[in-house]
Amino acid sequence: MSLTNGKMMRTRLAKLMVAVLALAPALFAQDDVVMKAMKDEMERSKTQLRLDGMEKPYYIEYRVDEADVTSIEATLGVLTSNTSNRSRTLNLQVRAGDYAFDNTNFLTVGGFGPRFGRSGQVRGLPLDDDYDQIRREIWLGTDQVYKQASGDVASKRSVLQTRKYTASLPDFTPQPPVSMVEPRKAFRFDRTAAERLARDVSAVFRGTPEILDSEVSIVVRDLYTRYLNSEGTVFTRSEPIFALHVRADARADDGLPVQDSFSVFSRYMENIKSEEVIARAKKLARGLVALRAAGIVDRYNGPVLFEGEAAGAVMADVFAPAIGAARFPLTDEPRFETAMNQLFGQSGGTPLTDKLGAGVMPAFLDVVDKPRLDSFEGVPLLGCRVIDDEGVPTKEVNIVEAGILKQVLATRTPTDEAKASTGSKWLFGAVPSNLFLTAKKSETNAALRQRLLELAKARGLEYGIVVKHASEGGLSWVARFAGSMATPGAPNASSVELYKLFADGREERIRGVEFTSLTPTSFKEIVAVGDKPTLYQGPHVPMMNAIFSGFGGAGLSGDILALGSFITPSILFADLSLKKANIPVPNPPVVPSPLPSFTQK
Amino acid sequence: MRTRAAGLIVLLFFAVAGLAQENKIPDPVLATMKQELTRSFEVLKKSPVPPYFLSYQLTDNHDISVSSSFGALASSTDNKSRVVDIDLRVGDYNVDNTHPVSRAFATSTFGQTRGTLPIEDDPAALAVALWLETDRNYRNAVQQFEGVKTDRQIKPADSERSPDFSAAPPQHYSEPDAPFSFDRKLWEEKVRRFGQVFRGNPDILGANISASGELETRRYVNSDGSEIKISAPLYRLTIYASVRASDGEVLPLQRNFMSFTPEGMPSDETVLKAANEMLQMLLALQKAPVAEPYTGPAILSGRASAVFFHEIFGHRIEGDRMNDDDDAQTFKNKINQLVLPKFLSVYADPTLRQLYGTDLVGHYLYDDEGVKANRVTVVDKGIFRNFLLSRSPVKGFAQSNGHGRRQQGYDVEARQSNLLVEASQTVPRAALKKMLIDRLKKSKKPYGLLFADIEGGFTTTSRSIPNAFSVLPTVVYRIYADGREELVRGLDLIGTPLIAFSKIAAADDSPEVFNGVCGAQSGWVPVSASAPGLLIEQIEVQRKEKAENPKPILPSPSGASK
Repeated sequence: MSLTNGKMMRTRLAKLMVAVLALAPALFAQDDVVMKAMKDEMERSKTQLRLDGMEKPYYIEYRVDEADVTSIEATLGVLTSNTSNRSRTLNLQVRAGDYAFDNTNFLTVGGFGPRFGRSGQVRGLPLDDDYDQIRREIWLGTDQVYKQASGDVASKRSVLQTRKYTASLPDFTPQPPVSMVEPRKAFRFDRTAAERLARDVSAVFRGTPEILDSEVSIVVRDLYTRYLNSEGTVFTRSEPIFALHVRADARADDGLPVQDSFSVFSRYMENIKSEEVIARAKKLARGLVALRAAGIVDRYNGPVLFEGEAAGAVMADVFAPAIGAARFPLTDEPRFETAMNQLFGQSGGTPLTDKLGAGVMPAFLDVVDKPRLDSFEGVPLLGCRVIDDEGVPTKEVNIVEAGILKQVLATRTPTDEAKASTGSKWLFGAVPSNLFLTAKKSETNAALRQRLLELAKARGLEYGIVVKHASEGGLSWVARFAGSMATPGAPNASSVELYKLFADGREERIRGVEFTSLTPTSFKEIVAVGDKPTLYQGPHVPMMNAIFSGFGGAGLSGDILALGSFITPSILFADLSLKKANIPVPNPPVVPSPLPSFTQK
Repeated sequence: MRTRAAGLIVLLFFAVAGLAQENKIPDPVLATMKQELTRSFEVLKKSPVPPYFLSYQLTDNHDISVSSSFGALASSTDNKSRVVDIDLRVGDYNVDNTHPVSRAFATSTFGQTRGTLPIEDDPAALAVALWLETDRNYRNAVQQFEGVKTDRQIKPADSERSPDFSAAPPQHYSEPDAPFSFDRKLWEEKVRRFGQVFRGNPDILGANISASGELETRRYVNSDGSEIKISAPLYRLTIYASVRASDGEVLPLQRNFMSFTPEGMPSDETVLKAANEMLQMLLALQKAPVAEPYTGPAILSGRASAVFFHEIFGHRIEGDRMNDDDDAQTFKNKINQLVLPKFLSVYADPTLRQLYGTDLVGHYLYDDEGVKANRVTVVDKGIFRNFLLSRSPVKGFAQSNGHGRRQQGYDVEARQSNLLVEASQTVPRAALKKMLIDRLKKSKKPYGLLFADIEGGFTTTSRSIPNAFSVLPTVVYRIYADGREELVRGLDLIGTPLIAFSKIAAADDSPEVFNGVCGAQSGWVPVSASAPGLLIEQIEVQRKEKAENPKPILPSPSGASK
């Protein structure tokens, strides 16, 4: 890989380095048919694409994602699905107008329902390295998107004529050109081994007829991206991902659904030890069978300790989505704008971006995003990246210093809180990569548990609550909401593993409860953190406002999975609320499971 | 002559089917299905709301498909899937949980996810999946039946109403796995090569060639004791291409080849010839004048007549619609009445596998309710005789005639199979044109229309909106009184059913087959229709919905690179 950017050009040494390092990409670019087609059509579009009387395209971006995706699902030791798909898609963007004022950040509500002023389009490209056909698709796509963009910028101007427009934020920020090009890495993947792993892990549940339904799914994706924009930035990126997900459902004796799940993410499958995954599945199966008899808590207000990877999960699901700047689009309907702003403020907690300069955590805590760090205690970090989705090189960002929110993560769409990109554009918007919560004072886990019990006792409670695991998205309001819409009454509350901790050290698992007010502002309630940071890797879950802004701005990325790494010590909150989850209680099946008759043979 | 030839094929085919039936091979998947069905049915029968009928239909799909765009490979996939459709009925044959109810008592299954089934044959995993799906269906059935009972207490009794379900004799039939081969690499090369035909012309907007081999294995068991296994391969090749006219209108053309065997697929020469003909036709259409809305006499080619009949006639003989009070029920009270000219008869014959050398995709031996397929005489010499029936009876028609069909995942309804329109008096095609010209001269109309090719059509049979149909032609000529033919573009054939039937004047002696897929309430099902060319006294055409694609600002980059 080579890295060149404008600033490095200043010294002679840097010039030399650039010359040497640029050699490989130059050769690559000559051989690579796709990149050549992108470059040739970019040159032509930049100089010649104009509609008389309309605003010119001032920014064009082509991204070609080449993905090989294999998806394997299994239950009870046999495959239920086994598919693979090769695709090559073009994500293209054309902005008409100029950096200060273009077609994006605009939403029309009137007429036949909402329509976003979008600058993007996704279209399929041939799988063959067929220069003429690839270039033809880029040509047609650029033409269509430019026509739409130039129309949108005109209607955006017309909306502004009807009202006093005070905002002075530009729509997009310029960026110096960067070049990071490498040929596609050979992908290492043994399909037969993946099928075997899915069978072996799912076969664990053959021994537990108490579990109604179980599923193991594996997604292996080799993604290679080529990127080019009209500012001169060119990069390529290889992002292989291996994801394994285990889920099991059962019914408690009282009929309430209980569920548990876990996920394992890695770059390559070879980093996964199947014995460890099988052992974890067995533990999940045993735990779920036991959970059926666990007690329920109607309501709990008091201290909660997130231990180990559960602390990373609460950072990922609750804190991280709140530190990305998101621009609210201009609309042609002021009432809609007000209503949406109100709604996003309430649903899932107010984003912390409004609190820039204010305390969001106790003074002994810092939060920093370190995108270029590639491993933690020998484990590869999946959040590691050197360049973001908008061609901006990544950098370390100090987000919280001594409890004060110093900076928020930003894309190239400026907001009041963030005028310049931090190189954080990923999928929905600005998201962290490798997010560290660090502390100036910390305590051993035993001391944290002691503190938990003391706080509980002061409240007159017999026990404190300990969280040991949350399935990905399990603590996110948006993910829970989306999940319950997809599968009404989905038993998602119990995929957070909760225990009562009593004064004598006894632990008792509870089920059927959910957090009711775990929001980004809850982090001010942290009283202590542990001395051993744990790595949690999981998908980014956006807040509603970021999703909305993503539609209104440069559009959503075509990526299917944006993973982040969260390095977090155990966290003790002074005061959180839990209550019995409101989920339907179906009758148990009339007919007993046929499984015992097969396994007892 | 033609009819006799078709009859011969049917007889031969039955002979083959008879042999297969003798040769019953045990199938372990079928055995697990039967075992689990019996176990669940026995236990559920003792519950307070017992089921009276239970069936499992397990569909295995192995789809291999490739496609190209302008000769560059666009996709290439090889996927297997398995789906189960369960029909669980509580109540009795007369009134059960499927009884139509007012909206207020309808049960929503919104958002319920269907269980996934193992694609590998493991009895334990299959039994567990069937058990869970049966449980889900049982819950829904009990809830639906409560709604039915309440609704019936509120609504006045409908004396016209037929029972909800009919008995059918149990069937036993099992075929071995059909030979299936589709060489993916070979077909990737073929679709690349075929697509080259359309390269190099910047006005050709789309040129997609897709080829697929699909093996569908359906296994069916029910509580009456039926056990059926059918293994059916289907091979397809589709050429789709479109051109932009000078005013921006997009003009599409499509050619389909379908066969049950790889040998039945067209040779490369045939495909290349078809692609070249399509290209020439597109370039001609591009320059053709836009037609005006018009009414006058017209000729429908055999393929066009087949689609015309499928849309305006075929959907109105589907029995389940006669039980729907919102349906227009065109033929409900037309039994034994004249509905078509006396020289026309209409049959629905799913047992027919081939006609005029073309495989008929509407062919099957057992329908999706385990009922043996039957040849049905729908119209005999112009007189309406019979509906297409599933196991939902229609008043006066108590038994299924093997037309209960569905796309996997949908509820069964009576649907078309192979619709055969046959004429007892025919004239040569040239004579049909002469008859049209005579009518032009008599009525002083400037021209008539010839619908040579069509892409499909649609209709509505609901009462709330007019019962119109639309046939979407792709190749239309004006025929002038002097015999001259002129290609035109931009119109659809429209009308209403009863008027249209009454205007059919004559049929030609060159029937053609249209193979396609038909979408309705029970999903997409493969169907065929065959008909002779028809002269229609009067038709109406309207302007086509505008599919516009303005010319790009910059010229095509192709050629610039080389």
